[in-house]
Amino acid sequence: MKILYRTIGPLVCAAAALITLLGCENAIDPIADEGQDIYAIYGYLDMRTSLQKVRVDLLRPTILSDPLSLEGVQVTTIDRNDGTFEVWRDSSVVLDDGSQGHLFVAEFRPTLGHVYSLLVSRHGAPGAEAVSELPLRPEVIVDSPVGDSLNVSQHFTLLGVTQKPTAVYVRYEVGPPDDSGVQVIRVAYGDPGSATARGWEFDIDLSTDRYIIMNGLDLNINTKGVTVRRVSMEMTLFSKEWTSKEIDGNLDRAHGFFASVGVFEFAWLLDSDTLNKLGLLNGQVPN
Amino acid sequence: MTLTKPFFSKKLTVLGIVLVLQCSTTVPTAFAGRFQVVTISGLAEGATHASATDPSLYGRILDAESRIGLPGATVAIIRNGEIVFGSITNASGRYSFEHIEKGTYVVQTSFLGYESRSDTLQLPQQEPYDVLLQPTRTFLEEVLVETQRQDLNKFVAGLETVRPEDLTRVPMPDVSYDLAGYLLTLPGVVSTGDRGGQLFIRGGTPTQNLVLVDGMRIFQPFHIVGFYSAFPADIISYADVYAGGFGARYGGRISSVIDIKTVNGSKEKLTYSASIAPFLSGFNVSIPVRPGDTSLILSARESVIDRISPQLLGQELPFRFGDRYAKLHSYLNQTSSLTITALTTSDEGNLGTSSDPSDPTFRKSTWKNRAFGGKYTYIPPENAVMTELAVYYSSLESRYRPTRDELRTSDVSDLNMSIGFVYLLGPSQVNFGIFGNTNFFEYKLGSLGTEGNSGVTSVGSYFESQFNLGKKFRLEPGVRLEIFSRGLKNTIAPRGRITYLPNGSGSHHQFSLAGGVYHQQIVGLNNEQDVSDVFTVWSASPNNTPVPKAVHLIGGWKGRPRPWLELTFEAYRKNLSDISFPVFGNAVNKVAEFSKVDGYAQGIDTKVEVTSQDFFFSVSYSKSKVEYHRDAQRASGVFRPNFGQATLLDENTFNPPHDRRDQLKAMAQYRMGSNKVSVRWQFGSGLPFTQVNGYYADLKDSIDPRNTDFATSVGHTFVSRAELYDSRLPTYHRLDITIERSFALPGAELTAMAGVINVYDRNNIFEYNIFTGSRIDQLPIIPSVGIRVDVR
Repeated sequence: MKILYRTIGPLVCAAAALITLLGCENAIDPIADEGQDIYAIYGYLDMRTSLQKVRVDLLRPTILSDPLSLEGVQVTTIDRNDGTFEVWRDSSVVLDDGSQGHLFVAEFRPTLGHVYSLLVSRHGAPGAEAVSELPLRPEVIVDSPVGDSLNVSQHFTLLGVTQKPTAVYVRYEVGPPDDSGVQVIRVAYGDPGSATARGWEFDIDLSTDRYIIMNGLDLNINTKGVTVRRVSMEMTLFSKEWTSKEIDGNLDRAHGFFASVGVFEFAWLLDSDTLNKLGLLNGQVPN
Repeated sequence: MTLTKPFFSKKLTVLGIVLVLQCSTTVPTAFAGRFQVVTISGLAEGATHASATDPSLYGRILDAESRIGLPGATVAIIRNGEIVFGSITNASGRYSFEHIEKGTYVVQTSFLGYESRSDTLQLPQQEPYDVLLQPTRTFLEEVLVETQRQDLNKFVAGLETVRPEDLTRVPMPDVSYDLAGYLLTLPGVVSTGDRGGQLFIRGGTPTQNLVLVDGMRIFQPFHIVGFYSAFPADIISYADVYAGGFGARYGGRISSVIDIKTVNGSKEKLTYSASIAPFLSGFNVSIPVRPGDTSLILSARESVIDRISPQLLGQELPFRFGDRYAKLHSYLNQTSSLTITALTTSDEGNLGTSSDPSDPTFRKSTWKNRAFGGKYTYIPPENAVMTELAVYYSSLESRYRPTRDELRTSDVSDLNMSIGFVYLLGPSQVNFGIFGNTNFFEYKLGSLGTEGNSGVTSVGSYFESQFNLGKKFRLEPGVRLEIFSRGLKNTIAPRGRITYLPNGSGSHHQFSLAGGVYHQQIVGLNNEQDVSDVFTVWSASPNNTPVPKAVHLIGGWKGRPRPWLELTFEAYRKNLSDISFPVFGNAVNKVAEFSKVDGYAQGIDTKVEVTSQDFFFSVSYSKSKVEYHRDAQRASGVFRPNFGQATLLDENTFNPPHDRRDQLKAMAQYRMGSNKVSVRWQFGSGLPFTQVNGYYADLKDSIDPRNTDFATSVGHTFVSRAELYDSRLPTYHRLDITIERSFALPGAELTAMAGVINVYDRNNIFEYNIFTGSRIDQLPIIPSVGIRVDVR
């Protein structure tokens, strides 16, 4: 039994030592330290406006606690393509429930195809970054118009575009027969077309547009002498982040959503034969 | 010979088979070769003794209950530790010895299926020495069990056989003992604590443990206070606890098996016991319904701690639990028996921080187990094949109120039918069985807006055998086949064990290896958002996906370098695949989605056990690691959430919340006459949990390129989680001490107990709600007293 006691003694001592060393620690820290430098960022850069807006908040330590003060928080953007630097300013907004929120704004208009980094930091601590690339300017393939005078259409292909362009407008600059000056008629096409292996493809219905032009000029449908000065198209394109809002791979040390919206415009020439079919005159000037 | 009682005939049949098959083990070769065998053929039927000369010792060996002679029983006469004479009783149970020198001898009588008995006698003796042996088992089924564990020191990797006497070593807050308390002392068993009743065995989760009570599956086998299992210790004959590597007869779970066999009631006399203690009071009565043939056990336990804790402890312990158990066992005729068993349990507790039901932190959890069924056993007299037909039904109803106004429910039921055959082939055995199993699930998750019901049925068969390879090896190969009703792939699961005895049966050292493939078609899902949670939703594994699977490999050594010292070492590895693991997006209170993870659990368990006449001491240490790996995937819905989009998950490797790396457990007991002091101390390193970075308003629903509504939107509260399970809770440790004293009364025994649970009042954490910051600790220091009366 001596062996027995010799065995048990050290074990008891070891147990006591374990209690002393490890047993005292009994607190739980449910909040991770790195949480204080993680932000919530919601917003998007928009080419359609010169006033950019983004909501920024710090994470709250509990569900019920009030939003934390953003004192010392700085929000900036860098255009990675040309190095342009913008400092955003904090503007307090009243939220729908009457509480206060932080809306950061900056006055600039982003550029198509440029990559922007939105940086949020406080007192020099490692901060959050959100990156978005405005959609690239797509290459457009314009097919020759087809069809007779009552059904002339033209096919367009935006090479490499995978997301549906929205707010597509065809813009006609036309001169009435009385030479009263150039007027602009915008024909809304909504969200036309579909995705193909080459990109996004859709048709423009020139015959129908002629009716809209005449109507816009308040002319009879059979009126002759309307001159087409310029034809262009504009559309809104979305950055890839809009594809799936749940993917926030473009955010570092942040939750939320950051994306961009681009406006794409291009012009093309309608040939004289087509304009003749439509009963219009060709007054276009090649660039 | 005229058989006046069926029981006698049955017993003869049984014993005849056993004698034929087990002769080599019941009469040791060395014993048979050394003693002077008395010619029992010379003993005439009915004669008091048949020798021409006066015998030195003679008499009969009788069944203590029926008083019928036991043919083939062994009688050994021992002097100075050496067997000097030996005999086997004749057909009427008689024996006789002659020419024994005058002196003091120990006379040892034994018979398979009966308690052995030793008496010290002065020989020669003129009066007949008749011995009444108390049957331990009364039917071949039980004899088989006895045969399987004839060598109680036999070592099988992954298996710990728990006997009733083991349970008495664990300090408990009452005087009735319990299996759950003992299981917590085993290496490799991790508990979330005193509350909740959840056991993790060698890396497996509670829902991956198969718990059987006489073959009935019990879904929630432990009470809400983790000291107690859902059944009393009084009914336990023994429990086989397989921490892994279990045989082909077990299925439906991938981690471990706790197979509890219960005792049959006395068929001769009424016995009962009762105990009173703050935590649990109860009674147990055994009734000989038809003396000699049929017995009935009734048992009931009920906790009273919720009613007396304010006065006793000065604080509330809002837990109420109890169980009812009944078992009818009957010999129908000479070759068959019937067992009918029923068990119900009820648990209720407030897991919140407030006892006021109107308080938002009041969280109530209740569950009820119901299990009943029957087993018919048939043994044809002409061959050594035992057939068992069993039908069992069990169910679990869980109710959980996370808030006063919300109720979540989960019901699961299990209907199981099986036919098993056991072929006795000398020292070898072959087990074969076919089974069918149906589970039904129904759940409603309250404000989470999810509800559903489903079912899954499986049929299959198993084959298992045991045989010796020479004197040093014993092999136990097996295979289990299972076919599922819907969408789940069929499974083939090979299993096996091998035991190596370097010096044959007398080896002081034994080595064992066990392994196999395991599948689980139903999954139990917990909310991992809380550090600990007792509400489990059971469901079928998702359609057209692989069934959760585990591959076990366990190797171990057991040594007994001194008679009082036993050392055990086991190393194990469980490879896990297609495990359903809950995941939570950033939305607060969104219903859990599920991911498929692979992983492993590995570790070593060591144990040192010292046993002397008055002293017992054991210390065990476990080192383990559980790691899950999740490939990038989209979370899928066992629960099919009815809103939102399934969460996209990154690839991740993490340690699940039951990954306790280090455990040290020590237990000691010292007996001083009728007094007994028991001490237990447990230590466990902290369990993993996921920290929170913070909370924020999610505005994705209101962000749209066509407007700037997001600028003033309030949004929905979301949570930002830190690295998955990258932080650890505080360590767990606790000391329990009890003192017992027994008093012998006429026809009864009284046991009084006093003890203290959590002696140094350690604030071990039970639950921490990361959203509300509310913390609930496990049981504080609790003094306890109890009294138990056993009337025999």
